[in-house]
Amino acid sequence: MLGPVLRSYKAGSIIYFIDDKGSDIFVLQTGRIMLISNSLDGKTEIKEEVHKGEFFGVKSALGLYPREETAQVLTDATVLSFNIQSFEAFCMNNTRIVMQMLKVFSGQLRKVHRKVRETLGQIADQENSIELLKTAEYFFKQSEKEHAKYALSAFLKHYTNSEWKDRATQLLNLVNSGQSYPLTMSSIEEEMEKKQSNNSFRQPQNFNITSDVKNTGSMQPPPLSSFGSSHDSHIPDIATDLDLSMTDDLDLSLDDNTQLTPSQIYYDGVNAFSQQKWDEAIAKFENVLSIKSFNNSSDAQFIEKSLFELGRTYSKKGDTTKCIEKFSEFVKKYPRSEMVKKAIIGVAEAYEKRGDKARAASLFNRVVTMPPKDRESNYAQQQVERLK
Amino acid sequence: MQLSGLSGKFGKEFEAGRIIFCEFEPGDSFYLIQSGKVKISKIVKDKEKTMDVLGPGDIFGEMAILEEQPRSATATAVDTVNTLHFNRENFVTLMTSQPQLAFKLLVIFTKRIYDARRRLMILLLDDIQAKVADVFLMLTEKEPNSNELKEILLFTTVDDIAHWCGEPVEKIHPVLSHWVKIGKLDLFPDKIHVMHLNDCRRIVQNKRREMKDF
Repeated sequence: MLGPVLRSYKAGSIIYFIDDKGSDIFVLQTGRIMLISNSLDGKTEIKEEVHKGEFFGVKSALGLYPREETAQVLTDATVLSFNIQSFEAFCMNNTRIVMQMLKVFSGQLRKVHRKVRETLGQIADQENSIELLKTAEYFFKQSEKEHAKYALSAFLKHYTNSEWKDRATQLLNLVNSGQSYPLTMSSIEEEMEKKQSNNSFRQPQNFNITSDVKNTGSMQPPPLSSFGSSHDSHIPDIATDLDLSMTDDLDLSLDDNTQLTPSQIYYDGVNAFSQQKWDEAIAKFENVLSIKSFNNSSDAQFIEKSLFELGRTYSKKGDTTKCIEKFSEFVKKYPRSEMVKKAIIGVAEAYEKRGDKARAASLFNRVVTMPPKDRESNYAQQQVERLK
Repeated sequence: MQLSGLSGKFGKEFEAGRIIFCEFEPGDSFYLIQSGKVKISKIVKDKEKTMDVLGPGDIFGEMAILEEQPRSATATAVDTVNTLHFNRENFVTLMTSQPQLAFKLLVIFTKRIYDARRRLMILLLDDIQAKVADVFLMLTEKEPNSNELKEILLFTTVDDIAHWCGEPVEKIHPVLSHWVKIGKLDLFPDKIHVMHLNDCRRIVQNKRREMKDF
């Protein structure tokens, strides 16, 4: 496999022009290089200087599309030039850099999507819930009952406060009992008109809608914040990909500790956990739990998750006392959580580690008896057998 | 790809016909197909329209790791499908242990960014004719040597064109019928024959230049 090639360019020369096709990827070594692009509406020219050690030309090379900027050499410069194969080989051995690029790219993608949505003046969140319900009803009408069941359950799970909850519940009951779509039921559109005309007589009462909006609108934990945390780049040379045509692409707000949301702190914790930095992870999860006020209800889910993760982290760390304490607290607080079986298993394993096999077995047994029968029940069953 | 070791941890199997996720359902995870086929479909005007059928090695639902947006399409298992299932929590573990997958995702993201930016460029044009012309150009660009093409048969519908323009169909129709009348277009129920791509290029270029000078 050929590695990258070192190339020299004279001041004033051009490495590539906007709209060129090319599959080379570059890293600036010495000298100065400017990337010149147009804003998407074509109204302004954007100039950005490449920092030493930064990649450029990555996206257009990987995506096989025309260059989005002109790379002009300001002072005599040397660059490392990769072709796609050598770049891929490089990536295989430098996961951290790939992760950083993913982070940058995802930030860019998020921004473009947001802009598209803004431009389209789009779709209030509550409309998504209605669209999901309509999709469910479409499946039901087509007698695709499993699909209908799935979509209705998804609706009821995600939009607990929806004003359409009763309708969805009613339909789900019908599917479950094997009946077909009730032809007598008025369509969602008709219902909406009815509601609207009702509302014109009374004060608007659609608290449901607004709480819906809040719910979904805020369900946007910082994308990919679970990627390598932004402060610990001990790779001095290659900081971030600079193949940017939008100036403000790097979402640096993540670095600002003062404004971190519960979800951001939570994902920082998850990130630390994945790097086996137990103490750091514990600090992050504790931090989430210490937050007293929440902007919205979806933030609250991160309390639940953080408490669970605390149990897990202490278990990894080998602190059985704390592990039992946290998992038990979780089970007490969130008896209906999807993760409750996992938490009980966590407690059982901690007791076993301490040599208390009887207690461990009885806890595993408790998991076995809890419906529904799933992977956790099977696992617990195996453990019960093993401990006999 | 050597992903067999991950199946135990992240594996998820779907029987034939089973729905994997549903259009408009909020999602926070994505899938890599290990075996089997997955149909990606949308319901358009009370009809289910298949957008794509994916196979082993393909990734779907990856937009969910960016933000918890509703799914833009429905994914259904065509036959028995084995997937690896990832969410934000196990994402880092996966990516660091499977660099080839991280690389693949990098490539997918570059394409997505390009497509989204290209779409935005159309939406930012402030003239309906230029928008429609630019949609034709965008669809043409998917062909090899698209720059040299003078005409093209696009397998698309008026609804699709309206969607890309971000405009209601009623606003698109007059533009298209005008072009049909002056012999620039042929409209079929399932395809559009664009006869003068150079005219489209000129309209769009002029519009962009005008916007720049403004």
